[in-house]
Amino acid sequence: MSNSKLYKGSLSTIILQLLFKEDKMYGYEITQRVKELTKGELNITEGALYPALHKLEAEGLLEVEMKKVDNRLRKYYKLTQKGTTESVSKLEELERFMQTMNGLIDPKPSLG
Amino acid sequence: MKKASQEQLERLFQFTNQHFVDYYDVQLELVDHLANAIEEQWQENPEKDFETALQEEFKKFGVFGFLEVVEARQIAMQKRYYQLMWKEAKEFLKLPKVFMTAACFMIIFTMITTIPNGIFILAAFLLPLIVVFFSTLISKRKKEKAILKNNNRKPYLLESLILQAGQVGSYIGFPIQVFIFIPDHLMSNFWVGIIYGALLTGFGLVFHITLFLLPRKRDEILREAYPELKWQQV
Repeated sequence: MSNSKLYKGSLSTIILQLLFKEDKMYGYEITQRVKELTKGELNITEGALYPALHKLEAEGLLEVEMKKVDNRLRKYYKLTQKGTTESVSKLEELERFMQTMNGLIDPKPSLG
Repeated sequence: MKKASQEQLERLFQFTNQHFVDYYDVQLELVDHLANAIEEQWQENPEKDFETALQEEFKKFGVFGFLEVVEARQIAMQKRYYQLMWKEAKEFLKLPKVFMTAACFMIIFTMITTIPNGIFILAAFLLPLIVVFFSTLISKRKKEKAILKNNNRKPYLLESLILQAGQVGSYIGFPIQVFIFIPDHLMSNFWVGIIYGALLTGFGLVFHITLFLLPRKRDEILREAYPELKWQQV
């Protein structure tokens, strides 16, 4: 994906978070939403997105719903119960990581 | 907003075919993705040529094209197939089927430990079984291929796994190999009986599940894995 390798490890978290907020989305919609939310800063490539979606589906975190739209079938992804729980814990994990990185990069001067 | 026509959608199916996407479920998802992306390009430039837009979108998949997507899907579906196998196998460890499993184990164990040259008699039984396994597999595949041809579509990935008996055929030589590695003086040993009895029973179960049970439930399994099948013929 992306302009930066730093985002790579967070792809599953990003997908789970989007689905947590949006209920159900299809692959192309996810790529576009990320681009829109990050104002083009983060660009999820197709070659990374679908493998990640399929992996999450195999792990039982996502389930699939098909809809007929414009003469073709569209595959929507939704969080399962397990996926909802996982999205919360993944977000906490990411927040802890960001705090740690913040502490490392910009340590507050100690008073001691 | 300009939309992809039926012919253009068919061209997209053909395009995924040409780029080694051999499964209908993966094709469906990629066709919708490409069509969305092309339509997005048309929003900015409605005159843009369909083929040019398609090539631009394909490039975004990177140097391996659709390969990574197909591979990830294969891993995911293989996992699902193994889960289905395990679900069936568990039935053979519960009442009432556990009696069949235990009987199978006891027959093999008794043959190895008490009947002189029992292990060779077993091996002699195994060989025709293996032949039956492959011939059944081949005839089933032929029949299914004809059905797919009639329906004019590629197989679904899970359907393909069911057809190939989850590729367990590649391990079929294993029970025979085990004979080769047992030293002569251990041929009727108690522990060889236990281990080999368990192994052969396990293999028997795997073949029974992959070759008969799962293909019998094919439609039910596919409808659960692919909700879109309600619009299509299996």
